[in-house]
Amino acid sequence: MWREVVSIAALAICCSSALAATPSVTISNQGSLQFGSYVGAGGGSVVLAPDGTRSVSGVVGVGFDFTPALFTVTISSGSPQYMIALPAMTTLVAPEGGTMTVDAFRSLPDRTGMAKPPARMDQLTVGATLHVGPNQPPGHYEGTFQVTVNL
Amino acid sequence: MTRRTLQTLAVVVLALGIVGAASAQTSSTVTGVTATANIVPAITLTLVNGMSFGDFVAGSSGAVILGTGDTLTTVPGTAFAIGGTVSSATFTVSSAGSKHFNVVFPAASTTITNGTSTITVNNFTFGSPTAGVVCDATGCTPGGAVTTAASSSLKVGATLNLVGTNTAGAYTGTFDVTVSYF
Repeated sequence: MWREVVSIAALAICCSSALAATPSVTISNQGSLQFGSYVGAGGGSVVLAPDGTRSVSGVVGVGFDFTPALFTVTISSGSPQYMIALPAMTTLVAPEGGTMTVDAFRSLPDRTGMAKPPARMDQLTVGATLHVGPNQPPGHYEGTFQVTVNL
Repeated sequence: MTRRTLQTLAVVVLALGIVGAASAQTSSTVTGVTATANIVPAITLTLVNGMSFGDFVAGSSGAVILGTGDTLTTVPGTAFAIGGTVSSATFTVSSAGSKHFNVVFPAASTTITNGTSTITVNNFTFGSPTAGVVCDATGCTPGGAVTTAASSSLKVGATLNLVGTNTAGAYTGTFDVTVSYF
């Protein structure tokens, strides 16, 4: 009798677990975060918004080669809502030397997003703020960052 | 026997359930996303040599076009050129490679004088022999005047407007040229 009860309980646990949705969320990177080109002079900052608009302060933008980073988020099943976790800062480095700080990361959608059916996929863009130092040495600066999504 | 079978089944299905639960992924991180920025040097313009139209016979009149390749064009029977130094103005533009830049003449015309008589110089034009791209006087559009080198040569020409009353002498004057990143 005791054995039977245990068996039935185990079966109940197993089946509710097996039948419930087991959602998976996946983020993949489609494009890098490109701030573009600037004449440094006295230094300043560049705010590249996740919608692709740019505002500069103290530096002069050269050309229009700036774009926010692009990601796709897919959720296999269940609730379409996901939360976005962005880094606090990262550092860009030029091969010739010199570094610049990137912070104030922002995403679109902001903080939470929805990967709704039928595609269960969402596009996510990420911008940030670039800090250019006084007499920043010319060069191509590069760095990396990470983005996490949670159900 | 029946009881045992039931028990065995339960264990098997439970094991499957655990496998299913382990495959669920409630978080996903993408690392190593690239972020880039370029700092480019300030653009500079340096004069190599000024503009020289050469020598003309006093009393002649007409338009004399100095091209961007040190060449003079006159209408036969008007201004009578007799040699001298003929050269377009030459500048060196130092800029970031592969960046577009604009060339602007702040004034549409300038005046050169020998102290008593004046001649108007206008219709400034420029070419960029190094890049092999010629832009018009209103500036370059995207795709034009791409400098692939950090330094390129900029040649400037103009039109000299002789009038029949110009007295003999050496005429001099100045004009301004501005370059800026596009």
